[in-house]
Amino acid sequence: MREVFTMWRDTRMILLVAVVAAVYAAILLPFKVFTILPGLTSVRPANAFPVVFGLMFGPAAAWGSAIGNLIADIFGGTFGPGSLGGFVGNFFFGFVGYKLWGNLGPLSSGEEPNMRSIRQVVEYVLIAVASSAMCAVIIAWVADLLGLVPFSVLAPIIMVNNTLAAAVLGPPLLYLTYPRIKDIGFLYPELLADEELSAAGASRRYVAAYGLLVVSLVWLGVGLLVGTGAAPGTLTVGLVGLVGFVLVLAFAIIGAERLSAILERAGARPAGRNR
Amino acid sequence: MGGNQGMDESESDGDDDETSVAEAVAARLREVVFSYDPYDELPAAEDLDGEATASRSTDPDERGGPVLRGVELTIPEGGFTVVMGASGGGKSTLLRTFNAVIPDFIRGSFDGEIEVLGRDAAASRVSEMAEVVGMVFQDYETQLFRTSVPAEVAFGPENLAVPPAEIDERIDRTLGLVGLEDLDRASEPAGLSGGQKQRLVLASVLAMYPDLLVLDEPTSDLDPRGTHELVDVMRAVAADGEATNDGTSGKRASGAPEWAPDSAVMVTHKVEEALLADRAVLLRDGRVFREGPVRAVFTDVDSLEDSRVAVPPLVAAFDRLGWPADDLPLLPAEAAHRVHESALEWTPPARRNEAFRDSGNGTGTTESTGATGELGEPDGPGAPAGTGRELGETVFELEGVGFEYQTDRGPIRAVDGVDLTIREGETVGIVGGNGSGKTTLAKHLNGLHEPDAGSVAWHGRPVSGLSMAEIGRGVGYVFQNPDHQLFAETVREEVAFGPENFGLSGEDLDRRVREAIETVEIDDLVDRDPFTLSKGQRQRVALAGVLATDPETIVFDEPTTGLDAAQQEQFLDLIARLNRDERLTVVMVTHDMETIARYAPRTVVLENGRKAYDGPTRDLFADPGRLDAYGLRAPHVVETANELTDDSEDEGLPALSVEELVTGLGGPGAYGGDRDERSVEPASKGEDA
Amino acid sequence: MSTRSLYVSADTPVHRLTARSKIGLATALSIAAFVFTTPIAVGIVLAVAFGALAWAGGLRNLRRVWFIVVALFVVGFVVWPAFTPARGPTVLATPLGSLSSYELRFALGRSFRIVSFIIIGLAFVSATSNEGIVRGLRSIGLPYAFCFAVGTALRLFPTFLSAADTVRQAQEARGLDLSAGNPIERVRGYVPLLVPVFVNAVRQVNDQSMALEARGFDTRGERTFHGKRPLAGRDWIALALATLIVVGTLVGRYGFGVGAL
Repeated sequence: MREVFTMWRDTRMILLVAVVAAVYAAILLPFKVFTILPGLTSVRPANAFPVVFGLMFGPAAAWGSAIGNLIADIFGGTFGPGSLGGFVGNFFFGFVGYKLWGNLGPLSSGEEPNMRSIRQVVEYVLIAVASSAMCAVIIAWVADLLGLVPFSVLAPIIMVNNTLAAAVLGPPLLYLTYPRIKDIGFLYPELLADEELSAAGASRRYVAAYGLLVVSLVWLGVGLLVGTGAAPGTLTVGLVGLVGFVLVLAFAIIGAERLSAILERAGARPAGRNR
Repeated sequence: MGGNQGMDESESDGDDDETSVAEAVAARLREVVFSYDPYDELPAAEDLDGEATASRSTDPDERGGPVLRGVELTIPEGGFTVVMGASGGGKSTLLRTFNAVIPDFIRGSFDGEIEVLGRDAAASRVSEMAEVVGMVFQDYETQLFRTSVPAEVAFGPENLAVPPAEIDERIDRTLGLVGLEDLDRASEPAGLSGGQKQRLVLASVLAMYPDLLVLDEPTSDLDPRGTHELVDVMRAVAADGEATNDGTSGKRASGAPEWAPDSAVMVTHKVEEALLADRAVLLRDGRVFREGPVRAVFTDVDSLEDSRVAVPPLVAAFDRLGWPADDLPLLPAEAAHRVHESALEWTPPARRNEAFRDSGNGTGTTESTGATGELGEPDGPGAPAGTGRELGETVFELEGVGFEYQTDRGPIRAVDGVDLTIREGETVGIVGGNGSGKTTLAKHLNGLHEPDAGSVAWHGRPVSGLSMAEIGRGVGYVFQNPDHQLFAETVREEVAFGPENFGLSGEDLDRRVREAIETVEIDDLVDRDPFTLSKGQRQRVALAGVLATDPETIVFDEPTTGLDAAQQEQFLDLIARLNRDERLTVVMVTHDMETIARYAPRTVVLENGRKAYDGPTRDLFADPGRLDAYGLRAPHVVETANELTDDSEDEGLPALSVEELVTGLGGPGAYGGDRDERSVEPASKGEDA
Repeated sequence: MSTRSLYVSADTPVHRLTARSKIGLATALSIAAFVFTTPIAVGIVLAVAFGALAWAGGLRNLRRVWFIVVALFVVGFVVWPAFTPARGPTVLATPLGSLSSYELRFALGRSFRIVSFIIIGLAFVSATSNEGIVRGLRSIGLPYAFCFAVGTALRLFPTFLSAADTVRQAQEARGLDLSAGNPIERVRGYVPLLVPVFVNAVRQVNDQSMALEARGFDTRGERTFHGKRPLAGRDWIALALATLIVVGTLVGRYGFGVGAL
């Protein structure tokens, strides 16, 4: 989690946040593949960006996606209290990817996300699903708390939209952009020094990564059951969300990214990079 | 260093420390060696003699071998110095050492000493150097960060912790100096024109009250009007405007306000701008090759050629006439004056080769000699190179075309009642300032825009009734910036994208792609990633991608923007060849007057969306007053020829190229006759990619 | 959908408030819309929000968002009864199910709330320039670097919008058809559009960073802030009003049960 804050010291990372945000908003607003509910929800190609950006720009993508969504709200006329959920949800939409990549043990390819192998694509799709779910549950949770739209209506819609865009567009986008971004030296491990990145041992990283993966999906599942009244008892969507969100924060804090080590092993990043 | 130099140079002010008073040096570089590769083993400066190896690409970020190879340079205080050199020669890299961007921001591998305004720049942070050095870069889009004009100007001073009360004054002063004082203070930088944006950048940098102003190709991305506006401001800042006109290289006059920077250094590849300075430095292979007063350097044809810098066209012309090397003219007035003082006679080109106006065959000889700007006109080499031969049937017929954009401030009529006929085999230039509607009009030709009023017909069929797939196959459109379309992994796949979309596959597709790649001569690049190529190469890939769809017409939107002089010439020659050999109909949207002078026999001028002129390019240039009214400027060669024609009161047409000017004055060697038959190419040779 | 700015360039009393006061008022109204649940109480908040929008000269922005407003209203109205227990007399009976008066009032209250949020946000955006938004973020205590990034993103957004449009045209001129094929193919069709927009944007970052540092930007250095406006009399009134709204609604709702179903 450290890099989420230390990155604000670096000029390039700060501008990456701004550029990611502006590009995300500029694609999000005008382009939609098709509309599910007119005026409300559509599959937008831009929803692939947070995951793809997250793998390459790490924390800058998390902040950038959050700000980008806010800008889309401001320009699209949907700015309001609900934008808070959009901000946090999109932050984690971009955040989950770089925390999970390389940290999923046997499910990880152990390679850079350049989509040159099937194992990478599998790892990517898992991450896209987890990221989409995370974004969906957070936004739907906040919307439910605010009494805007019930969780069980909004969460599946966002989940489907995000997953479709991220899973279908992500692999070709990474295939074509990752090598180029690496070539110009803008992958986050190339911009941040070791002491700016969070570090953790393998077991902690695995626990955190699987924790985020599992929480996102379980939160979605339990939230749907509770929200539709299928789960009996005193549980509410709000309470499920609270537990889920606390767990997400906890796993976010104990986890660490892995791409820097993958790059070091490939000789693309000097070991022990510092300022 | 308060930027408070007195009106009288001899009377140095007291609060400067002693060294700078004694030396009067703005910057001094010693044995500076730099490579973008942070892991490069740098050889000692003296071992870096031969040619720079970084020639794979013109990208300054090229990471192969040292770019600066032992630079020894002193920039005097109080002067305006211009730095020129071939692409990849290290110009921009050199400038970046002045404010510690190198080596503080771009680490790379660095060696040497840099002293700027008494500070050790090699050991300073960029933000520290920002207190004394202001820097303006080429691309204004990457230099504006804020959402209102005053906030943008205030930004630098805020970073330097200038008290807010004082920032108000700086905003007023600098916006006034760059001529933006009338701008609505709430307006957003994003909504300004290119010229306004770059002037805003300049104001924002000047508001930091730097002592040294550094400009890296500040006008490259601007149209003629924007360039003109910025050049005027730079003249005011340097306050040294007369120096080049009367040929003396002098100290700053008293025109600039006292808070303006004392010294300026500029990199440019535009000769016209270079002549604004009082000192010139030529770089070659990462070292200083020649330096001296502007006049001395820019009339030194050998040095210019050796360092692969464009020779000013009038210098080239007069050198070819055999004029003494120490007396070559830089500007049109000087050139005309020299002719009057000599025995040379001016014979303007006669009208005989304007065939495109009639349907028939206008000239007997149509075979090109192959050289640029030469069509083999009956009495000597001519221009333009585009075409001049028989024209076929009508391709486009536009009647009363109008188009409106919706903006925050209401609709804007971008194109208004334009009638236009374009025929097969023509090369037509569409010119006009920013916002004149030229690009909007051009986009009607392939259906990217549909007119709100009037009609566009392609081979007699209304474009509005055709699908993109139908019209796209016949009419290709090459966008201004190739980077707006390149995406594929290799050049081959990139070129194949269009024909694939249009349904080609297998053997046909392969053949089409191969032919397109051969035509633009990028055979050796087929497996490369387009993003790693130079700008000139990327432009070719984009063209190949359009050629592969086998269009009969291609619309080029600003084909020369962002290319250096040599790349421009190569690309335009290629277009001219396609027009000549493949009978491709060419429509060129451009703001570059040299381009239409040399390549487009027919020009359409747009002004505020309306057609202001449609006819022979030569006739357009014959009337400088009219050009002025359109906000256009004739190239120096044309201006000189017009001046000579006016004075001789001869009926005649303007010369459009160096060749025509030389021919009109009696041909190579006409002045001395004893000089070598050495041919100096005009303003755009040799800067090889 | 149009993507032009919703900011209305005008000089209304709403515009003249500092961003901080506007954020305060918008927050207060949003809290009111949130704590009340009856259609009448939320309807009053909605009316106030419309008043503010009209006062800020932002009614014309409704043309841009009316579709979203109506859609949200209808969806809320349709969806919420399914998540609410049926109570009270039935007001509508259909073969598919029946609607009780409680469900009706609940759903109406929720739909009014959604629309209130949108209208409050619209009033804020109509009366606050991008620069004002950034100053507002700063004034509520967010770190400078973050506010700078938001401001730069707002500055770059229109530039990238037009770049994206140009790329779309360039690819369409080469035969790209974004509306052809099955859903998966249509999503994939966006690759030639997204790659150039994105790679070019990121390639700019290096130049931008250089220019930024050359302007003295340093996250570690001291800086001043130009254009910070002190709170004027009207701002104090606005903030007092905002406080009053919050206290009033909370006391009314939880102390006296006003506006609660």
